[in-house]
Amino acid sequence: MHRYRMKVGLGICLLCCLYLRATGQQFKPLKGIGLNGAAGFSYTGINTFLTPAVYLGRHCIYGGPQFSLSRSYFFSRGIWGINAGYRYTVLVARRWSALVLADFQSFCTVPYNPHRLPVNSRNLIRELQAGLGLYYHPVPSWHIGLELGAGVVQERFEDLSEQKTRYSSGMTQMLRLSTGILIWKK
Amino acid sequence: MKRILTLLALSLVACNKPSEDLMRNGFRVQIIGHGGCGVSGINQPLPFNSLESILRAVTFYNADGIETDVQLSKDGVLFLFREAALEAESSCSGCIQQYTAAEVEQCRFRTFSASTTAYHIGRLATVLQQFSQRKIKPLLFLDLHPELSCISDPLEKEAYYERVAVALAALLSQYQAQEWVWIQSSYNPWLRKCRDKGLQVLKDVTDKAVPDALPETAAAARVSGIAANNRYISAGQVAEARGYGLVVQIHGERSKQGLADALGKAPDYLLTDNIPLLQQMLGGN
Repeated sequence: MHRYRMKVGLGICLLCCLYLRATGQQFKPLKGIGLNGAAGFSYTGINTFLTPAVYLGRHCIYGGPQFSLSRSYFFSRGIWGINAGYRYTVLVARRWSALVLADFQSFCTVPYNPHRLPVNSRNLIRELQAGLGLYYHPVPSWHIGLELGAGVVQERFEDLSEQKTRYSSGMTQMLRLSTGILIWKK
Repeated sequence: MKRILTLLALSLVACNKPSEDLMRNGFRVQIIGHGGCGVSGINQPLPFNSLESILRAVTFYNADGIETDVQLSKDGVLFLFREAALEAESSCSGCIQQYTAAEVEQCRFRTFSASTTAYHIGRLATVLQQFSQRKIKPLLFLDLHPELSCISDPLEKEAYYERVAVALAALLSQYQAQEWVWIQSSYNPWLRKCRDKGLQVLKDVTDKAVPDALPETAAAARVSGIAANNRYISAGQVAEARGYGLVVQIHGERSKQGLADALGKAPDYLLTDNIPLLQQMLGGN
């Protein structure tokens, strides 16, 4: 069901891009510094993001902290991580824009250790995703939108009983609601 | 205003970690992953009872143990699978008892989102072999379900139960696993067969109210403990069972509220489909 929803979501995004392409008109995206806020679901559960962003026309790079609200992945609440990425605005039409993105998320945390065993290294979880986004701009310097992505996840974790560092990797998906505002315009 | 403040204070008290008092006394409820990391879902992509899910529960989540279901193939090999019918959770159809081990191993798990996965039905021996090599042995609860959709003859059923008990005893002996493996079932004759072969057994009272006299009768029947659905066992019965030297495993809860209620009863073992959530509730490290 989850994969089905992701496929439907990606399909809708693609259709919206095609629609924008058909009705689109070129415009000049803004340059400046802004701030993004987002909440999304991915491999590690539900996370929130607050990332400063640099807008360079159609290009945007962003990076900042993320905060986990997960109740299904981490053994403790309130884990902080980092989020960084790049977005490229493909199409703009009226108040809508469509974009492609590459997104990186990482968390670092101590393993659950009820027996108080020695811990040699922290657990590290990294997600790298490629995706599509669709933004609505009530005003040119503010957007709200949806981002969908798919990619890979890698976990490095400590098997405490065996005192071994283990790795696992797999596929993951992302769904994120995002908003951003341009604070300083060039 | 006073009433509102009282309600607020009461809600804050209710939000406290239910296990705090128990933790202070050095008692810790042990976390048991249901079928490994739990029933597969949006946050849990690995199939229920798959080897991968079971190993992840103990290596990644550091759960104290796991609970899984066991069935015997036609040629006497124990496999980890819950449903009586293979088609319910795998790419195959029929029953495990109709197939040889080589045939069962070809079956792939299904999950809620995929009609087939890359994960095959695994052997119990693989888990025992992996667990027996670990320095801290994870607890392993093996659930024996008496429902057999492909065997209708009562005599054949009894013969099957006996074969399972013999196979379990042999396998546990091979891996010296009698100390950290528990057999649980709702079917008393099957439990007796296992107990008589020197295995630790739990009387499972799934989906039934726990009779008031159960702890006493269970102790008299020389079972090592009881396993019960949280809805049907009270804190008093848990305490009484512990008084008889029985261990208590509680299962059947998925929500945070339900798990909190179960923790408040102070069982020895609590089954969960969400290991991290229970770890959060127990206060992390």
